[in-house]
Amino acid sequence: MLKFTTNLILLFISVTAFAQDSLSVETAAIDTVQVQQASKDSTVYKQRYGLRVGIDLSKPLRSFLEEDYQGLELLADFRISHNVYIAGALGNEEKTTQEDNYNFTTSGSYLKVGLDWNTYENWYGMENIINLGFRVGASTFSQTLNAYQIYNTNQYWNEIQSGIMGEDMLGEYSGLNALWAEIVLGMKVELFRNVFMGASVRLNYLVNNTQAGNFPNLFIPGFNKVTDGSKFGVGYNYSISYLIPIFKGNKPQKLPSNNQQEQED
Amino acid sequence: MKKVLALLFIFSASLALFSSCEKDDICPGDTLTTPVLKLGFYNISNQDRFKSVARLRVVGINEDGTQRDTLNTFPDRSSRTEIDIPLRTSESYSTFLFIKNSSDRIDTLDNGTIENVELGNIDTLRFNYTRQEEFISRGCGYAVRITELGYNLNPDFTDSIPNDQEWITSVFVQDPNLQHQDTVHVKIYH
Repeated sequence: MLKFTTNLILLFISVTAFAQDSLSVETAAIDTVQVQQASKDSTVYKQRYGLRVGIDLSKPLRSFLEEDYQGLELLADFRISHNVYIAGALGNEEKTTQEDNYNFTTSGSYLKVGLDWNTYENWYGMENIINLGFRVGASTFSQTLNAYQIYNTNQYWNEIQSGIMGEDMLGEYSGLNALWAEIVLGMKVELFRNVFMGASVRLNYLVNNTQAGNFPNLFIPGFNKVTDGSKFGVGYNYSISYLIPIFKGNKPQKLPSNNQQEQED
Repeated sequence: MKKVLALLFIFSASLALFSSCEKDDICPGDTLTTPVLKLGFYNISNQDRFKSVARLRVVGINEDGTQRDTLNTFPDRSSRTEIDIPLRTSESYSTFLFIKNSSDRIDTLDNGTIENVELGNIDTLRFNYTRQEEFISRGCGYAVRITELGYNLNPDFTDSIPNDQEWITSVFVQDPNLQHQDTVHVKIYH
């Protein structure tokens, strides 16, 4: 596992370095071609449609770096029109959190489904993505309270100092679940043919969550940290994915007036 | 549009990164966590009136019967009408010595050791209660809620100079569940 992760990181670094050269060369070449192509409209670049599958790189990396974290997330999206993709993720996380007076472990799985809308106008021959999107996320998980001490501002009896730990509330709180909505802001860049590297940030809004009476949900797999008195959360991922092209389609024709404007630019 | 989007992206990416490093989960001081027991000293012959206790000293009693340090919630050996008593959270009872007119006499024993003899009038109060652990918030964690508070006055006779004159006449539990931290929970008449 360790070796695998190290390799993955090395690959990641080399791939990023690589990509910058090849991309700049490509753009230089394409720049000159684009003007002719746009005016003549004789050759049309066929857009690839298909299933893109990938993995979130940040989670295995965190699993490697942080002792208290283990996670994996698989990603997929399917292009349904020129700008719109159906997207989803399936993941599993286990995280131990140390707070001031207690320590707990959250463990569970999650599923996210939604749509991405590509806002980026690509140059000829490129299929990069800057997307806005939304997801609906659901998670089933359990929380285990590993240890705790009673919070008491007056320590006349020295109970914390003498190491008296709580016992009544210890144990696993299972059968918990949560439902939330996400707004996603992300991008994907094609490094090689069909291989994409991506990153995204997410703003989450907790819609519903079932929690144990004596221990609220403080961390939800897929949603991340739950803040007291707030329904919002944040998330991110870094992905590498592979596009399995299934068919090709044309870019939709623009209205003549729009075309005119673009040429003037 | 593109530039705005890119800026927004960088901004939110850094937000997501740095928000996780910030330790914002402290327990605010005004949160009601584990309560203290609030005692008020009242006049037995005029029960609505406070009556202060002169040179009051309060000392907790350990499990093995030894005395703890003097209670630190008020200035030792001062005149008080109201005091705060911290209860044990690991046991369902706490015992205290309430010493009125507290002062020491220093005795030198025959073998040369020095002993402090308490000259004040000592009454013992043992409080019994039910503990219920309760999750307060992320920053505070668990606190103990105290309910069904009862008391036991002078379980054994404790004055060092034998003296039947107990100074506490009676005790009344006004709020057995310690719900509010701004009112007296137990009234002591003397």
